[in-house]
Amino acid sequence: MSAATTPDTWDRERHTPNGAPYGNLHSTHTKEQYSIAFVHALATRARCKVDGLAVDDEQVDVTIRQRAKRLHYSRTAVDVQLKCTSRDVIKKDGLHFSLPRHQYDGLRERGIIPKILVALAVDSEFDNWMKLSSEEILLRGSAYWIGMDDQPEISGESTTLLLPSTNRFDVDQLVDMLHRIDQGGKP
Amino acid sequence: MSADVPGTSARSYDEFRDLSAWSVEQYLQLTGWTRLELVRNTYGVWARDDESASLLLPYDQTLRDYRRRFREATDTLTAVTGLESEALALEIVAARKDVFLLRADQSTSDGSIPFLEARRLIAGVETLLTSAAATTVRPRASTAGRKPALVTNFMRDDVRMGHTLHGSFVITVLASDGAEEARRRNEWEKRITTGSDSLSEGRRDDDEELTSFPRQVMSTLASGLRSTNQLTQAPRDMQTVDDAVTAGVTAQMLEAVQDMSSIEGLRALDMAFKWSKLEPIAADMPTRVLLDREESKTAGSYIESFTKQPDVEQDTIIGQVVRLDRSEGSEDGQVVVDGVVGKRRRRVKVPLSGEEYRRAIAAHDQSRPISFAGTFERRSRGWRMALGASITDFTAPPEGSATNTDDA
Repeated sequence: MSAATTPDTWDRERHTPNGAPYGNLHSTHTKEQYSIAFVHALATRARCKVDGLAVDDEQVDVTIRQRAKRLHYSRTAVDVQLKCTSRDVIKKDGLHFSLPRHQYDGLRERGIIPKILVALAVDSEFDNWMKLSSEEILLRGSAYWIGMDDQPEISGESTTLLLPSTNRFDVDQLVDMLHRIDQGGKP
Repeated sequence: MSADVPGTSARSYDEFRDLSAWSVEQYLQLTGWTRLELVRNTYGVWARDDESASLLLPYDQTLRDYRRRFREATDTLTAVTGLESEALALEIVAARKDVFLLRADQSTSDGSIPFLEARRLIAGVETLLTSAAATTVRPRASTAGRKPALVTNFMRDDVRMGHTLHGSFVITVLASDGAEEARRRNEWEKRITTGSDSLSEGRRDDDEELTSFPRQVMSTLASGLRSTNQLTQAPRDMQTVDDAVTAGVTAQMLEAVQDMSSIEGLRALDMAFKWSKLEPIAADMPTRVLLDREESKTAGSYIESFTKQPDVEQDTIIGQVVRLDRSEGSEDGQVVVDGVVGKRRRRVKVPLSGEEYRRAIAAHDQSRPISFAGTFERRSRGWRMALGASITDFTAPPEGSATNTDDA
């Protein structure tokens, strides 16, 4: 089958070997759910707690806490807004992510706990996101982060944020970031 | 979590609109939590005194993460108390206000009751409160007629109706000293704004040892309703009526109970009290009174006995001097006596001339009971004796030891 006649990755029907159809979650929600799973996996590897998954407000998807003693507040935490894109956004200097002004302004509003934006770049072909076998589940994608609390005001209707190539969102960077916050610093 | 009712402004419980940082902090302060950190205008960090839990409570609603942080705080309280949504909100309010819940235990259709029956219940509760306030000012069997300003002020400024709760039909009444609450809130706002914990939490005047009027009224209501219940089991004689009047029962209370109980299908009036932690409460104060339909009918048969009962004013208090207060250079002074007036426990301020004041000092030194005679005056936050009160007796101390009364 030629590329021209291949249905879009989101329109293609998928079935199990037994013929049962896959779900029909919208592409936007699929990306959202995947990015949460991605960050959740990294936080788990860092032995950090992921809070507030069920809550969808203030442009925060999850709160990641280093200390997870039940019923005890810890200041070592960061609010995370997740974005997932299959566009070609990774350049040499990092990930370039466009945001409309209202979203940008919402992300940089002052809060008690520091906030970062994590953008996850994934392949345009959905079937390539994940590799599953009896031995493993491999999540594919490249995530970058940027602190949002000190971002400048903008005048235009949109902006493109550069999430630097040095800010790979991985286990070490997450743990280092939480350590800086614990010391009273910024992410 | 809340649900708006389509096409209206009505909604279900919403923690962000039905609770405030101020009310949560009052609750924490009164239930064994201590503030460890205060960041001016932003948040406070609180920990339980037994170190079993801690939380961050946000103050500034303009902060991006106010709702998320507030929800985390209430989630912690839910885990600590085992209460959630409306039940937690009521617990938080009840820390600083006395709460009276009247539940009409009756069969309902789809959770509803006839509108006119609801009106009777509301009217009945109003009568219970007004009558309890009036008999607190001046104990008597019938409180018919014009009410003192203290009563009308109480009903206007100190009593509020909370959200109705599910569970048949429940009326929620909240009572607290409105002026005192406003003062406390003002103090709190100053503390949050300045970031200083050094401001006083106490009352602003010298009445701190006296029980607030709303607390006295709610105590009268509770003991009166309990006594109403007991009336149905006691032999009918004048002593029974006397005791009931002393406890706070009035003809109007009995009429209200009778009227509410006559609602068709009603099985019982189920009444509960939650006592604010701002003031101490007598250990024997009831937290629940259940009046079934038949008991209410029996209590109603006492109404005539109450309307014919003559008014008796007590004018003597016997008790212990628990506080002495005299200005520098003055001979005269003022004492606080914790004692009994008739069968009622009271704390009363008594202004005394020099000689009488010295005798009161002696009674205090020796921990001996003492009695004062005079005219009682009801003030917003407690009882006083008018000028001219006199000591009528030093009661002989019990053999071998001094006598002390418990705190009211």
